[in-house]
Amino acid sequence: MISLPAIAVSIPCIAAFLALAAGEMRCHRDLIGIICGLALMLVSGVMFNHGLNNIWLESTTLNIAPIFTIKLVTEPAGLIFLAIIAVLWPVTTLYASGYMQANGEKSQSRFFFFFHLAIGCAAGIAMAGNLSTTFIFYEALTLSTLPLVTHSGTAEARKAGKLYLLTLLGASVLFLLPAIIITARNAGSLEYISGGLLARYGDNTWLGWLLALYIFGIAKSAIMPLHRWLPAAMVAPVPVSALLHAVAVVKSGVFIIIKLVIYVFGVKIITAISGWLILIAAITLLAAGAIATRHDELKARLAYSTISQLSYIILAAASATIYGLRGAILHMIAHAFGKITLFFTAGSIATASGVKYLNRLNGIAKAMPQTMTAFTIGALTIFGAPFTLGFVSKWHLLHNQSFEMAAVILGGTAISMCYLLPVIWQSLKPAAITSKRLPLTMLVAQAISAICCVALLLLMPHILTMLEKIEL
Amino acid sequence: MIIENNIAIFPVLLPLLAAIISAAVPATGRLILPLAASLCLGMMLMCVPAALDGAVSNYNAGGWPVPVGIALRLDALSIFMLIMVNLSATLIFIYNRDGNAALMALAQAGMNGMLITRDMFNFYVFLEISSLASYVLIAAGHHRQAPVAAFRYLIHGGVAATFYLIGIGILYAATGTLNLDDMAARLPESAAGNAITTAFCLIVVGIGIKSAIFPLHRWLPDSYSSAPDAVSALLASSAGKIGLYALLRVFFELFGAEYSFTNINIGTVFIIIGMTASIMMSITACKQSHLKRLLAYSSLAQTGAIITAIGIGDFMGLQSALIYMAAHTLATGALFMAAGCIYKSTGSVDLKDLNGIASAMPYSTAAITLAGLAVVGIPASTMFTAKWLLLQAALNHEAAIVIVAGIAVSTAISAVYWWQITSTIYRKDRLHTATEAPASMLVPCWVMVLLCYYSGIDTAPMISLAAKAASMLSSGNVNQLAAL
Repeated sequence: MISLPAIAVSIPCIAAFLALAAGEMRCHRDLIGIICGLALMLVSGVMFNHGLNNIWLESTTLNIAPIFTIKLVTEPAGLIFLAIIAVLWPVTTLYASGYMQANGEKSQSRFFFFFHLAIGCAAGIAMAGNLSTTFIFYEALTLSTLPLVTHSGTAEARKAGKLYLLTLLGASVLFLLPAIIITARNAGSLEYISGGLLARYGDNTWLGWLLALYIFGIAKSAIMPLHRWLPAAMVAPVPVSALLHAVAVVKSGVFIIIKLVIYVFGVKIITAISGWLILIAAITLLAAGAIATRHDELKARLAYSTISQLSYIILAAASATIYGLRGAILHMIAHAFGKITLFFTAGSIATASGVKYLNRLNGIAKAMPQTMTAFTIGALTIFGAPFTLGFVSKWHLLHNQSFEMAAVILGGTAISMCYLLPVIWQSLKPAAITSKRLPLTMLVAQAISAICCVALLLLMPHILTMLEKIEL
Repeated sequence: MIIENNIAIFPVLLPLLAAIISAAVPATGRLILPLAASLCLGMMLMCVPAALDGAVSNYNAGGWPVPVGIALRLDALSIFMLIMVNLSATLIFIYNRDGNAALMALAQAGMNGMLITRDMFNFYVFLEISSLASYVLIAAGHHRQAPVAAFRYLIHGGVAATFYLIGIGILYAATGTLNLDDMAARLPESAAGNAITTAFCLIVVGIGIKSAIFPLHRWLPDSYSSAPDAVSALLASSAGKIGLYALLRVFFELFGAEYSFTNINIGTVFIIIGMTASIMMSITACKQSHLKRLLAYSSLAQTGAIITAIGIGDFMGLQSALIYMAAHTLATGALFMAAGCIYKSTGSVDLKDLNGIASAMPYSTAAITLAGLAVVGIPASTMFTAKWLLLQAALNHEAAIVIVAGIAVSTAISAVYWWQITSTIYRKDRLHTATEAPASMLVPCWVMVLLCYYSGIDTAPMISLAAKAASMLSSGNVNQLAAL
């Protein structure tokens, strides 16, 4: 029987080939993307519901090499990650369709092919039932997003593509693969096991080194000093920056780290060996935020903000408390919706008025009121203001946390205000500005994502129930 | 059944017949060559179930009994290699546009012969058959440099054959036999210790030159880059592996694992030169501007990894070496075939001329991209399975850190040259008027590309046959030679 997890991964891949087949027939292509997106939402909803009823699904296992097998399963954290992707994919497809047209981008069918394919890979990471499956989809995600980064074909894009490939693929080959090999050798298996695959090794020095190999192997989490690819990748079209480099790709990185903490190392070991990781994550959190305040270009500002926000998740996962882990997953949700709204609005501003820099934003609020409203909601979510998704995640992050950690988290919040509030102030300054009309699809998409930042609070009970099903 | 009893001779007989027919009536070459090669392939595939049970098929040439006559034998290892060689030969013969059909069939006959013979001198004869054919094939390349490259190869090949022959001569003097099994049985009784060490070294260096083991590889990049496209595909995908196969036979069956790995310590030597090669040749590949030269250096780097796997020398190492050979055959064959498609249309494979060729030739360039990824070893490609097994094998070895780090570094560097090719062909600076290569070239090329991935996902058949061959080698009972 074909299992639901396998269907979830194949829907975006089918969408990719359909988009290729549709060629430049725009309406068909967009419709395909959105219908497939809704189908994925349905499938992930069904699996989520099964999960709430404690029914966990599993696909058949495919043996590639001894120990190295492919298996897709549903588990709480993965279901939440898949749900994020499933909700945001059709929204972004909607946005992308308007954006690509309005900006006259070329080779659109190629763009959508790789775009959908990347979503399929991210869904694969969400559903991965063991480390080897995670690794396969991790590499496939790197390769499928590479043509999106270099989409424009300019020298800058090619340079960014080179950095992207070298950092992500290089780190995964040099560190992640050896780490997986060492795990396979010691544990004799690569399965994700509640309580930790390596838990029986207790507190060993080599586990610390193994964790380091993993953390630096997963360069997608953009932890310093392996963060430079992310700002460079912002040369890609806005929908790519929005969905992939704020949601799917970077979230895959931190999601894998969360899974490592829960299922490979186990919280006991992580508590003993993660001191250095907490330090690096804290440094990344504060430093990237500080760098963001110094960038004038909106997308670069948002990119560094992403690096900083990802470190909240790593920090919380490394603290290895139950609230920390729940907070990490909740922050994945909050940041996904908040940041995609910010990227959408930044893209809308650039499309409508050509403004890409902070100091030229004068008058935008008057010219594009809906867009700036959405931006503000996104920003509030990132700050963790009450009545947004961000508040719930911040609350969990701060719950039962040590004084130092709480100071770092609150400091990070203060810094995030320093880099997002000026954008709003600047746009409120009066100036005469001419702006084109935005395509309806872009307006609708950013409205949906902004509304989700608040409205998803209604689903919070379900999400919290799901989080309680994580066994440490 | 006359075919079943004599199946061991067919891999030589069929290509030889094809060579004669296509030499007499050149028009038949395009049909008869793929036919002969695919028949060989089919026969070998039919032998697989029996080989998995450990059965061997013997054939005594001319009916002469074993130590006197020439013995041919099919066992799991031969069958594994024959499937590889004849699979790529079938596809390359369909693809072939510019290589002389009769000579290519002759080269194939020689390669198949080396894989089935149990006679050390007969091995030399087949080696010369395939080498002589390849000298001429390379000399007929499009490039002005082709005759020079062929001459260079001829000199190297001549030296290699002489080394091998002297080594065999010494062993013949010491044991009085040329049959591999007979020789292996008699070697421990022989008193000529130093002479046998000398013979060992001569044979290894001789075969080492033929299979371009670093640092004896200098002839290879010139030959591969200036040979006709189908010829370089055939040489790169199959010919290089035959020498490695011969080394396996020499180390594990002729001299015995204990002598080779304990007395001579060839394992350490191979791990050192293998790792050096796989890193240095990858770096050199990054500096190349000629696509086929780049592929040649990449091929050398992969050979380095196979050498390392052989150097590990236990069951896991041998198994990964065999899988690695298969992965390399598929990926390199596909790359050279795709490069040939591009050459056919544009008349150049200089990277600077290929700027933006992707829009004009989408299928060929997609094949290069995917086959290139298979060389890098992304998961779900055969190369990944090979690297995974190699890394697993390395962890049992005392030099684990060196091997794991070396493989990781060379993989990372191979991603760099993959990126150089891909970013060049997908650039948008230039408009090309070239048209896509004909289907007869594209289809075999794509079959090869898809096989790279198919056999990386459905790995069980390949791994089980390789495991059988590896266990046969590593548990070989011909290792009493340590007494020397």
